[in-house]
Amino acid sequence: MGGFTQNTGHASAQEAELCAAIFVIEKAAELNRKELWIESDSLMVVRCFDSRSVLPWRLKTRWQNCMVLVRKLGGICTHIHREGNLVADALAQNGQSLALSTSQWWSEPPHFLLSLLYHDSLGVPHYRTIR
Amino acid sequence: MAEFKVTQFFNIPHRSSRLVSATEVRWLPPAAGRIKVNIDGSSFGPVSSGAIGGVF
Repeated sequence: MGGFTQNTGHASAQEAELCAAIFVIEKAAELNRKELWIESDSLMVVRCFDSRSVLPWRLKTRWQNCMVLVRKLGGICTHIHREGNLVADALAQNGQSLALSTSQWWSEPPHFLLSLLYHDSLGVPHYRTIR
Repeated sequence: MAEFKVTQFFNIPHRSSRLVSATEVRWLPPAAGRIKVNIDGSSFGPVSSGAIGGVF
């Protein structure tokens, strides 16, 4: 359907992961897209969905508003290992080159995602190795 | 990884001292009518700027 990246400005890795979820929820609410399935490679984000994790204070209010929206939209959140989340990972890396607080939306997949998207659409597994 | 799969296929016990285990991670498409979005955030730079990405 489409992809987005955003440079969120000063943020820790944790805050950036939460910002991504907030961005998605606010967009979904704006477009009134119901039955949203969010998948993140951060367990902290998944835990925040059922308030099992402590939130950074800067994002607390926005997050709580988002939780109200999620309940209204019937959204769920699940975890995937980062090996399976390569497309979103590539987009987040790409967002690093954007100017501060700007975002970009692609309705057609950019060239650097094509092979990754093809891989996932075929259902080919990625391997998570523990050494 | 290809070698690992081959040894697994023929049930050859692998003796690599480094590889402890490998699991398959697969992206699953959503059921019809549901929208799936994969998200990720990253932090970078000396003052730790954040960037996010997601795919619908």
